[in-house]
Amino acid sequence: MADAEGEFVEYVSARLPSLHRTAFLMCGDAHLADDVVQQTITALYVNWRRVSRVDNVDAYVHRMLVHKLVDEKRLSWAKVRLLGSMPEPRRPPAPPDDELAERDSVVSALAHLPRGQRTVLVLRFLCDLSLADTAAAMGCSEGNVKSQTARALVAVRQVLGVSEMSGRSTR
Amino acid sequence: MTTLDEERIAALLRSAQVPEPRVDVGRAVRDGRRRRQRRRVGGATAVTVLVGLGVVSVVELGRPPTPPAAVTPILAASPTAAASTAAAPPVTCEASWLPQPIGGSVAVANRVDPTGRYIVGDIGTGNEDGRVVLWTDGRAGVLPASARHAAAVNARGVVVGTDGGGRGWVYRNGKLRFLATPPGYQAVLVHAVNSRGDIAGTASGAGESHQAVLWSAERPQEFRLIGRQGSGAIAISDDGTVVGSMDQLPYRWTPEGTGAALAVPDGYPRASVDSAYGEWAIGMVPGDRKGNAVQMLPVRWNLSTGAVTLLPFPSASGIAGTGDLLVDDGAPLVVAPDGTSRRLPGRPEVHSTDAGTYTANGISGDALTVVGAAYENEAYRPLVWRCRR
Repeated sequence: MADAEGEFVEYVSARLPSLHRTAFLMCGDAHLADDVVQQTITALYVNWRRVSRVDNVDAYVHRMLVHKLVDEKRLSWAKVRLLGSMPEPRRPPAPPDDELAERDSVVSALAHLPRGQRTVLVLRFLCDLSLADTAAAMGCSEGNVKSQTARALVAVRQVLGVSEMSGRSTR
Repeated sequence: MTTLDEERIAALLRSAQVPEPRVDVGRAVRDGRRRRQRRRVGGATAVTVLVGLGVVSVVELGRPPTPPAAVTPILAASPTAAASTAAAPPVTCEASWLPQPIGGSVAVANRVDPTGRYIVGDIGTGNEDGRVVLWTDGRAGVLPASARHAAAVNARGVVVGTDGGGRGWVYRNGKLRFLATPPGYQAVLVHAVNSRGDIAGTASGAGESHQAVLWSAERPQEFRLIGRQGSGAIAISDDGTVVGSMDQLPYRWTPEGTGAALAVPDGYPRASVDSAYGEWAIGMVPGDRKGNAVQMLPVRWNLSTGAVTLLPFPSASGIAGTGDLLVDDGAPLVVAPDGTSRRLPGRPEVHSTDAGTYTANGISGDALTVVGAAYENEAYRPLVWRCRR
């Protein structure tokens, strides 16, 4: 029985940085990302016996993460309604003149996207989930994932600068 | 849109500056254990976990619990044989599937009312998105989405539970209503409802403060605190007797609210109650230390005599008014007060014979209905066992 717990700790420790990166890029809020990852791994512990038996544990954990994020968002929207107004902080766009700035600017580009679009981008391109797994994680159709991805890519290219992106692509 | 664009986005996402994670794996394990314990109390799992004062419990993960050698003769029976192992009144049981009104690979029946007519369970992906399902005479209905984690159902089909945010709810006559959280507390945990609609649970607040609370299904905004701080309610009998805990001790309150500790087995420092029905209650005591962990052992109280007995099983998941115990040692087993036992049969279309294929979570007052699930091909399906004497 200690083995399973060890297995859990090993899995989570290895995946923690990537889970946290995923959560942060999806929500853009460091505290919320911490909270959501903490909640996700707690729920994972509770369900570890069941989860560790599924084929694709990573996909399953991503699904948990997305659900927790949506739950948290719902909760904070409810709070906003309750307390009147609580505008989301806007991040200033970073100057796109070196690679570091571009790395930061992808964060600010994400900040301008609707939640669904940033979620698809993160799941498909950071977490490398398939179309089907992304759809399953988000609880929507594959067609919906495709269209959200297309729109998100257009928006991100606009923010990052079309010329630079295509310049790099053809190099 | 080119693949290179996508690769570029992927590279940017991988290299984007993100803050250092402030996530604590140890805390996840601690909180997770506590939650498993709660769920276990609520009937969703059969894992032997109890986080006590300065004691780390044994967490049984990833493999079925091992029965202690002392009970091998009873436990060695075939996991799917429907047989009485003694000359007690012959009981025949049959397993049947419960209909699933919605999709979901984790569909489990958790609780049954004392008469066997109402069954509550959860259907979802196993991912905190489960919907509560109420089966009435075998017909399924889905509760509103804000009802999560049902804890109990009474003989009139009143369902109670606690949502993920620590808010208690009651579902009655097709309507969902939320229970008041007593002032000074942040959350409640609802455990039981009796045939009159009295609801029992525990309110919790800052710094692990907690207290037993009663509500009424008819007036969910009213509540009555029981005992003093440090109390907790787990079960409520039809006459209003509450069973729970006070500090580290098992406890009972009369319908008038007078409290008295229940016996703790000789040689054990404390005990906790998990569930109760009629004149019986079951719970756990801390057993042998294994490294820095403790194996929790199941116990049974006879509430009319006050006697407490250690049970020779790895764990007990429920008790009927007849004193019959529901034991899950890898396959469901019902043990009568005289020690005779019967294995609950499987379903012919389930091929898996692994321990843990069948789980039993709840037993009716007459011990003739047991509810649970079968696990095969990465999916749980809800089951009911109906028995005849």
